Amino acid sequence: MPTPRNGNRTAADRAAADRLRGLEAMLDAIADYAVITLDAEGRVARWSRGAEALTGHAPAEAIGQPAAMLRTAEDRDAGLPERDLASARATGRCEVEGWRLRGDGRRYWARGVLTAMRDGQGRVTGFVEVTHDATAAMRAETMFRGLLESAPDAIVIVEESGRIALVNRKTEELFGYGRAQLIGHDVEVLVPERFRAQHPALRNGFFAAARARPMGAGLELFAVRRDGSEFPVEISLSPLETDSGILVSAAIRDVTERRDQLRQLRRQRDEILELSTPVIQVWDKVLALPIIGTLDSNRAARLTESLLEKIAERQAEVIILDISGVPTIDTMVAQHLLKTVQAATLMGAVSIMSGVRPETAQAMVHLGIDIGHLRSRSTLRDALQLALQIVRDRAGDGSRAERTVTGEGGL
Amino acid sequence: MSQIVPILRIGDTLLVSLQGELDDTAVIRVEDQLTREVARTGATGTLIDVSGLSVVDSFIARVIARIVGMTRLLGSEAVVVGIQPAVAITLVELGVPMGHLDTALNAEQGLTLLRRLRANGHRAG
Amino acid sequence: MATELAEPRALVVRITAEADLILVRQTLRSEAIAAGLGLVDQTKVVTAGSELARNILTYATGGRGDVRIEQVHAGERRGVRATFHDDGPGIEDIELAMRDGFSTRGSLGLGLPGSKRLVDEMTVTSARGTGTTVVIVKWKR
Repeated sequence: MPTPRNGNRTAADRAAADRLRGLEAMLDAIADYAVITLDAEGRVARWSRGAEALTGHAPAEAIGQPAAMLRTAEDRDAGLPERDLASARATGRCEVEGWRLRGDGRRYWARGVLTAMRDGQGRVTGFVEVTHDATAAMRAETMFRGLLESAPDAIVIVEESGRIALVNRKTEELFGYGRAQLIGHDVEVLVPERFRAQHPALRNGFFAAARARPMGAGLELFAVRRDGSEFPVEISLSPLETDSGILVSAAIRDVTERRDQLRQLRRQRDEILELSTPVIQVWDKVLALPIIGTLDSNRAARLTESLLEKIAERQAEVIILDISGVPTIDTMVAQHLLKTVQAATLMGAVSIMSGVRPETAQAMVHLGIDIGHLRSRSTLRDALQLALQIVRDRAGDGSRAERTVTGEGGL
Repeated sequence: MSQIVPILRIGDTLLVSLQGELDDTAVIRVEDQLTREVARTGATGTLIDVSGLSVVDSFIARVIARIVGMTRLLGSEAVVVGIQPAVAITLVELGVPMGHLDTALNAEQGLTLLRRLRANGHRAG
Repeated sequence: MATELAEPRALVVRITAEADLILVRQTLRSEAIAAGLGLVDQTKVVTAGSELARNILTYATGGRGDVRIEQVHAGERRGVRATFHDDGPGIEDIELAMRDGFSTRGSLGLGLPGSKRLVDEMTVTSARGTGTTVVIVKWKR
């Protein structure tokens, strides 16, 4: 800046005044921020257009008033305005945040900076406070934190470096750490030791192509508590774009209970499957298998196995497969029934189907099923009669044949 | 070395019992021996007991099917008895065509079936 | 006959002669039992293994190859896995070889498709000159 010479004082003053006006015009053009200049005692010295817009007070109302006029009664009683000024005076700069009062009595959440101005000797000559209305942002943050705190899952927010940025109450509860013991530490502290080495690479992979997805799909995941105990978890990851880069939010759910329930359910299902495929011995050497309900491939496989085992155990010569209680026989089920019949035939047993509906018959014929070995009756009762006849015939043939053999043996 | 599978003769019926872990050589030897025995003895029927086999793969199944075919060509009948449940469902899934075989649950029923086959001169469905 | 520990709990059986088929079947059976498979599933996987080992004897160069047999865990599931490998000429058209009735040797042609029906998972990788690898998995139900 050129030093004004004595002879040019007026011109220099004019230039300085021009610059000041320019600066003030610029400040006034900032509509979204309240720029308030305070004197050394904290009284309003200048009031920008933005300040007027934000607070609803005209410059005439504000100038000469203590800046504390904008603060709430609670803040004033607590001495916060003086504390802010003292802090700015001591350190040069102080971040301010809090409820302020508008001229019409409504509140807004102000967020900004209070800066101390000093003269050449370092004396504080006044302050500049630049604030904006952060009500919406504050409400969003409050809501975010509220959601975070009330979430049923442990939520751990992680920076790209792998450091934990934020955790919620459920995280403290689930893992047994206090917040302070987690924030700033590597997220791997929550990963069981045996997976720890490979975790950073996987984590980096997620950051490289961040999109919301479950973690380790199809795998069983485990987490480790502060006391070293492990528990099964489900984790869903989702990226959060923030001013400080991409963060990843991991929602961690303890699934111990669900896994136990699942086990229990599976056990029960197995038991029900056993019960729902009852092989009944209806006569000496005759077994009946009344199939009730829908057949999926798992149940069909069990059914076949228990029937074949019963054939061997009871040395049954005839089996009746009653399918009148099956709502639909699709291609898969028809194929399975056929395989059952074929396997029973290989073992030496004759199969009779009963309760075959027209559409089932069609499906089976379309499958090109060799019905040479397959006999069928419309009702279980007719099937049973046929079964008894087969057993009698076999025994009858057998006894006749035996006489013949005895005769031949004598020759 | 491969196992020796004995062939027993009871009246006019031959009984061969396959059991344990059979290697291919042993199975083929049974095929040769049995064919010769049927021809030599004029046995009218053969029971092939496979109840001692916990695995029948397509090779063994094929040899068994061949034995049955050759026995029939020699004017005799053969019945395969004692196919285990797990083996039966496995053979069906594997897709080995064995539908033409005569089978029975045990030796007793197998003998009955042999007599019926011989008396009727045709196979039952 | 060579059974060796390749790594904890994985057994490798070399397939160079007919007699090795028995060892393949026995090893598969004992691992299937150890993995908790039921009798029917044991029988299915042993039979599939027997078919695939026989394929190696029939098709691989000099009838040589090996199978690695191990128990597998995936979450709650347990099962048995067998990885068959040979350095034979490879299969030119896997899709064709997976079809029922396809055979280049006049046998039944059930080897690959039949085995696939007996197991829960089967993958075949092959290329001319690099041999063939067949992996089968059977899960405990």
